[in-house]
Amino acid sequence: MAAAGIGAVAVASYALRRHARDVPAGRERVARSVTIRCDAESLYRRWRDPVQLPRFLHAVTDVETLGEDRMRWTMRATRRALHWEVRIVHDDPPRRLVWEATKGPFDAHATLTLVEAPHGRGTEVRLALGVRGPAVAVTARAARIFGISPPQFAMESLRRFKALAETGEIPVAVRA
Amino acid sequence: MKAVTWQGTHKIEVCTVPDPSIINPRDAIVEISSTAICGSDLHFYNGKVPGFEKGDVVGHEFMGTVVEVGPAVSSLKVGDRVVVPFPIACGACEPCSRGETALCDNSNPNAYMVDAAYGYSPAGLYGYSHLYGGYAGGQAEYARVPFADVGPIKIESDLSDEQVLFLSDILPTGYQAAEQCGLEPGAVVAV
Repeated sequence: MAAAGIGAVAVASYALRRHARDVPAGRERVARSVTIRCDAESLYRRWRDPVQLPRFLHAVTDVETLGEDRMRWTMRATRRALHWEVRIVHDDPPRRLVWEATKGPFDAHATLTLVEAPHGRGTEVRLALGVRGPAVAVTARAARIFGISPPQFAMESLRRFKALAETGEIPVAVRA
Repeated sequence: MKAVTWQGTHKIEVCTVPDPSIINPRDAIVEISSTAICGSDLHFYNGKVPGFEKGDVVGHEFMGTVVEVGPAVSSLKVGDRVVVPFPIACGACEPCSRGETALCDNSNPNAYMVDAAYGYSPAGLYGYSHLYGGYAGGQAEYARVPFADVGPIKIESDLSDEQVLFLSDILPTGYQAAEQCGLEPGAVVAV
């Protein structure tokens, strides 16, 4: 009986630990980086400007300013438009910028960090994303149902941002 | 305009497609005077290149006359005669700054597709499937040339098309191979 009890506790403990790995509890779930041949100050200013954000953020079609450090982001990854209230919770130019997104199909947070790249190559820009919720493994799958893949959002947003910063435009091809 | 299009394995057809237009400020439109077929075209002809869709315009070795420029193009003007290189290069990223334009970081809008296959995407390419950006190729009457102030080679002499067309791909490709092999005059090589 004691052995069965210990066994049950062991199984439950394993299950809880496994689930805990999926719960960010403030940790990011995914992060991507690019190196951009620009100074950190000018790059940080672009991320702080709500007018510029929809130009490079993947699938974000509109950013509406609601108040100081508060915005409403509209994403359209599928035909359905999704909305979040996004709040800047940490603003440390030109090094670190943190957003929290709530009142949407799921809660999320994002952290942007900028570090000088070695040998005068510019700035390393890292975007880390996490989804939050009590059952985050389910939430992450829900994100994909809405057509949102956190790794794709991070990498595509950074790629588009890098192209805009380095060349003044974002590459596009239209089939003849 | 008329253009050569991929329609499937071993199926190439000349079709009528919309003329290209300026999309980004650094684009130009080139009216094509000469265009070549490359050995690399055989790969997609034989159905070995993923990412082609029926109707895609092929061709990546072309030259012609600039007929329109975007508002941010200052180094070319309408009437300039140009040879257009195979890879599309932004001129500003780390690889472009080293002259490694075939590795441009900023010219492939579908870079995520090639990341999955190769780990990291090279430059966008004309007429070589959606993996490399889906850019319409140069076996056509006109082509849209992105970053027109970077890649196109201005021809300001009376050299014929046949004398300069292969600057677009096969001449520099062969030259690069010879340079990387450290060949000297008199060397015996297998090609």
